[in-house]
Amino acid sequence: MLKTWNPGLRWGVVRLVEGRPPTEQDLVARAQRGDVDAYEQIVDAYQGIAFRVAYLVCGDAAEAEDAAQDGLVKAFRALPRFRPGAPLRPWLLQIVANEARNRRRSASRRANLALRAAAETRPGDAAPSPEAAVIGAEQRHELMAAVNGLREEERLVVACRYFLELSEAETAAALDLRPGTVKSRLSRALDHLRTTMEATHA
Amino acid sequence: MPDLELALRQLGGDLDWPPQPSLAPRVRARLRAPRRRLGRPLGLALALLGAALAVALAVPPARSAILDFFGIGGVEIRRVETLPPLPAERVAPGFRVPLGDARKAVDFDLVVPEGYRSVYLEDAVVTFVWPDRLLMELRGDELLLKKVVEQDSTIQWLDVDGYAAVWIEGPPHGLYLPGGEARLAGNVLIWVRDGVTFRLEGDLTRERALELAGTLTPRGA
Repeated sequence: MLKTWNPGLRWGVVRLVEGRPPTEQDLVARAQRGDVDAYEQIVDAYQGIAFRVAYLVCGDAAEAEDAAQDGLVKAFRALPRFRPGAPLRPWLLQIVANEARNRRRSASRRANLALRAAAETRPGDAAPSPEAAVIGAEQRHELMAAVNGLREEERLVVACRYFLELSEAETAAALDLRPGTVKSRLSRALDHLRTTMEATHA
Repeated sequence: MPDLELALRQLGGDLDWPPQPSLAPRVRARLRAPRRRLGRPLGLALALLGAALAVALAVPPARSAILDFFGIGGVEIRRVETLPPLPAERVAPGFRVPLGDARKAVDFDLVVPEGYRSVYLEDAVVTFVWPDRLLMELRGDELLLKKVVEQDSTIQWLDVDGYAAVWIEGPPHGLYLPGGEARLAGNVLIWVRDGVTFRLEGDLTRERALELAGTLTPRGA
C-alpha cells in the first residue's frame, strides 16, 4: 500500500516541482528539511562567489577552499534557523567569510590580487567596447597596484563592491560591518585611489 | 582617471583569481557521510548489528528501502520507508550503576543533569533516567547508537548553544543500543558538544527539549 502524499516530505516535494526548475525558495525549503540534493544545487550556484570572498578575506587559496567548504557545511546545519524568504546569498557569504576570518587570525596574510597575464591581448578585443576603453593597459596595472597598496580594510571593501560586484548589504555581511561603514570606507578608498592615480600622472 | 568606479569594475573582470575548486560534491559528501572511527571490537559488534539491521530491513524488501542516512556525533540515523517490527516497551538502557561507576566507565567528562532518578550504563553509553524522559551521553566520535526513522517523521537540524543538533519528531522511531537491544523511541533531540554526544528522549516538545538541553552545562564551562 502506498503512503498518502505528505507535503512535508522531500519525495513529495520532488514530485510537486517536477516539470519546472525549482526556485531558490523551493531549494531552501527542501534543504531546511534535510534534503542534501537540494542543498547541493544551492552550493553549485554560490560556490564561485563563496570561494572568492573567502580568498579575499583569508588571503590564501588553499585556506579559502577549506573555509568555503567548512562554511557551506555549517550553513546547511544552520539552515533551520534561516528565515524563509530572506535573501540567501548574503547569509551564506557571511558564514563563509566568518570561517575565512577565523583561519586568517592564525596567519597574517593577504591575497595579492593580480591581473590576468593575457588581459591586454584577449582575442576578440581588437575593437574595444566603450567600457573596455575606459583606461588603457598601462593604467590598469597602475590601478591594480594602487588597489593592492590600499589599507586592508579599504581594499576589501573595494574588492567586494567592484571586483565581486557584491551589493552594499552583501559586502557588509561578508566583512561583518555596518552598511554605513561600508559606504564611508568605500568613499575614503576611492579618494585614496584618485589621489594615487593623479600623483602617478602628475 | 575618467571614471574610477567603471575602471575598477573593468579591472574586476580581468583579475587572475586562483582556480575555482569544485566544492558542491565535497560539501555533499561531508553532509552524507556518517562519522566512522571505530575501535576493533566495537567495529565488529556494529558490523554484526548492521547485519542484523539489514536482515530486519530486508522484509519486505520493496517497502523498506533505505532512503537516506547520515550521522551526528555517535549516532547514525537512517530514514526508511517502513520500520522493522520493534518492541514498544522501554528496555533498561544497560545496568543500573552508581554515578561514580558511570563516570569511570567513560573517557569523557560526564555532564550530570539535575533531578534524575537513576543512572544506567551500557558499553560506553551512560543514561540518566527521569519518569518522563531520559538523557544519554556518549562519545561523539564513535558510532554507538543507530536509529531508523520512518518517512513520516520530521528531521530538523537545529543548534544547542551553537552546537549542531538534530530534532526527530513524529511517529516512534527505532533505536538500536550497543548491547543489541532495539526498541521504539519517541521524540528526540541529539546534539554534540565538545566531543560528547547527548541524546534527550521523551514525550517532549521541541521547545521543551531545547530548554532542557540549554540547562546542561559541561563542568568548568
